[in-house]
Amino acid sequence: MASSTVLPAVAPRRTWRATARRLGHLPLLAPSVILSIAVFWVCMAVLVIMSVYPFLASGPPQFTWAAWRRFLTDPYYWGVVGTTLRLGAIVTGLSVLIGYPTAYAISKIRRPSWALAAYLILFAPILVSVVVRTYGWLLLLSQTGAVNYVLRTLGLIQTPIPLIFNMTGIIIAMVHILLPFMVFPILSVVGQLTPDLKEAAQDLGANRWQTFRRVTLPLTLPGVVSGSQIVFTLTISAFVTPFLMGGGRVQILSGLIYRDMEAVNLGFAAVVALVLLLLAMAILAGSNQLVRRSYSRAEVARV
Amino acid sequence: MFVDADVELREVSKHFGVVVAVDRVSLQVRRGEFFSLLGPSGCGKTTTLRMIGGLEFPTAGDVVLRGQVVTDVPPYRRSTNMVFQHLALFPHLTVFENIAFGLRLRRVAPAEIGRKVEAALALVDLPGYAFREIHQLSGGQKQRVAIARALVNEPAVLLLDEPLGALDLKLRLAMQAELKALQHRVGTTFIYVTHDQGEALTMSDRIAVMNDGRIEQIGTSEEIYARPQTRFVAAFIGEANFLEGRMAGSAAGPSGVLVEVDGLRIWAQADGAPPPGTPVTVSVRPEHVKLGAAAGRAPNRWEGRVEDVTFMGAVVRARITLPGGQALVAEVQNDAAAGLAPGTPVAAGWSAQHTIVLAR
Repeated sequence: MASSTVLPAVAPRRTWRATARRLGHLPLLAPSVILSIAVFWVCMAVLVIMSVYPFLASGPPQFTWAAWRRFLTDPYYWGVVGTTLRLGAIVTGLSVLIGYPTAYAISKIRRPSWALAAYLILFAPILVSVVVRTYGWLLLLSQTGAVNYVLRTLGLIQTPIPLIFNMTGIIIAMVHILLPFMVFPILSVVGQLTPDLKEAAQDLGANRWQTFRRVTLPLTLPGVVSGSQIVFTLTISAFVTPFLMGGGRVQILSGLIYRDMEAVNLGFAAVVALVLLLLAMAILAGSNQLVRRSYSRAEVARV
Repeated sequence: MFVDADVELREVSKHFGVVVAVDRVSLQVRRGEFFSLLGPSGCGKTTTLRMIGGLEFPTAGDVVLRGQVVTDVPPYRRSTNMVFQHLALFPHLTVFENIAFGLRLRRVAPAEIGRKVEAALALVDLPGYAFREIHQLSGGQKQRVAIARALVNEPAVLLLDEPLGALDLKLRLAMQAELKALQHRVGTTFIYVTHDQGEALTMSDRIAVMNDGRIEQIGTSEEIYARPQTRFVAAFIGEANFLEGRMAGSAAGPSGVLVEVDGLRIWAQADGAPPPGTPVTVSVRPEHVKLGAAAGRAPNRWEGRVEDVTFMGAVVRARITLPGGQALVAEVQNDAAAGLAPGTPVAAGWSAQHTIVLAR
């Protein structure tokens, strides 16, 4: 009898506690949610509005497609989009070509101290300011810089080759800066490969190349795709390095935004920013499709 | 030298740095044989298997495959195929592509590949599973795919590295029987690595017992069990009592030869016994020790005392102390165990043919 009178009083308290426990972690999300809403989504909304309601010196803002029309009809801007995508593709491609063997080699290092040294060498550039790093490259690659000096001393070239204030310079500096972002995702996937899969391939008649081609590469593809996504999006949205290495002679989308912001041409800057965002999202969505398919197979727990 | 030896190891050794994993192992595996390498973990059995498959290369000695020395031939140019301990199925390929892997590398015609894969799936009793993903399979099914993937290449020798280790007991027993039947059907030479003595005894035509990188004994299941040649083999295969003694001076008698163990005189069979005076270890299996009336007229028979009795289901295990103070474990059917109680006197004995004499 006593218990029946006590129970109703206890039960709601228990459910309250259960609810509290279930929702207890929500405050932990608050900072990132607030940041995401305030900094990203609100700004996005402002951008969209700005692109069609340009700020005018006099009178109330009026709706107009003018900025959009200008961007979409002028071939010059399509050229800039092309340059941006080309830069992204070349930097990503070179990063894969350099980053994959690097990650593979690092995964083979047995001695922990050597592995640590490899990580340090690889990730050290991230610790240095972008501006400092870029000026370093400018010094190395200029007409009178170390690279041209060595090439000329060796007699490989007669006149210095232009390595800065052009696409080549941007590509060299970008690959250097972004390489860790390619190596790390690949490294994490390569590290999960058990040696017995490769042994099984060899046992079934695959030589080293066939083993790589049919087993190692397909199983590490998710890492390559993730790395490529990061490198590509960082490249097409990069500003400082292309700006300094390009010397104003290579125009990409981020440079356009800067130019129009300086000129208080906010409507057009908003359009360019949105185009950049849409490009990044399209690339991400496309490659996500790819990564999801390869992950669904590669991530399966082994026996 | 067997004319029909599929695999021959000649004084094969493998050193990893200062560790000697395999120490001068020589053996021959006959064509069509189910041959097991049995031993505790770290005894070198897997390394030996991997050297046959070309996944490790010997530090010394030669590996001969169907009469050809293949010591330094890489795995992809050997007619061996392996079923790996963790199966190592390719997670990014379907069942079909896993099995077709070796065939595609050998550029077998597509129609032929289709036919062979179907046949291999039928062989391991998985028809209709060709287009499943690996992660959709159960443990036992993965096992079968791994076996099909190896057998479809029609290897001269199939190497199996503890392939049943990950399965639960019931499935393991079923797969043992199935593997044995499969081997019978395809007639391929199987070399099977296991640390499970029961598995080796039930499946193998012959067994090589390994310990510490060396082969202790090679023989059929019966030979290994009934006539172990070393103390290690006697202890590792089944269970055994050990008594330390020495061959008696004028040993021969009607019941065989005599071994003296701290005042006990134990009869053993004469053939193959070491010369008089040799220090030896006498071994007897618990199930060969008879108790009470069953000990009857056994030549090796003493009045002992029961120390304790353990009920184990079909059998009862009793620890007996002999007059010389030696401890002896006996295993008797539980209907013969009536009246066994700790502290009571009991006759214990065994026949001369069950005395195993091991040189020390």
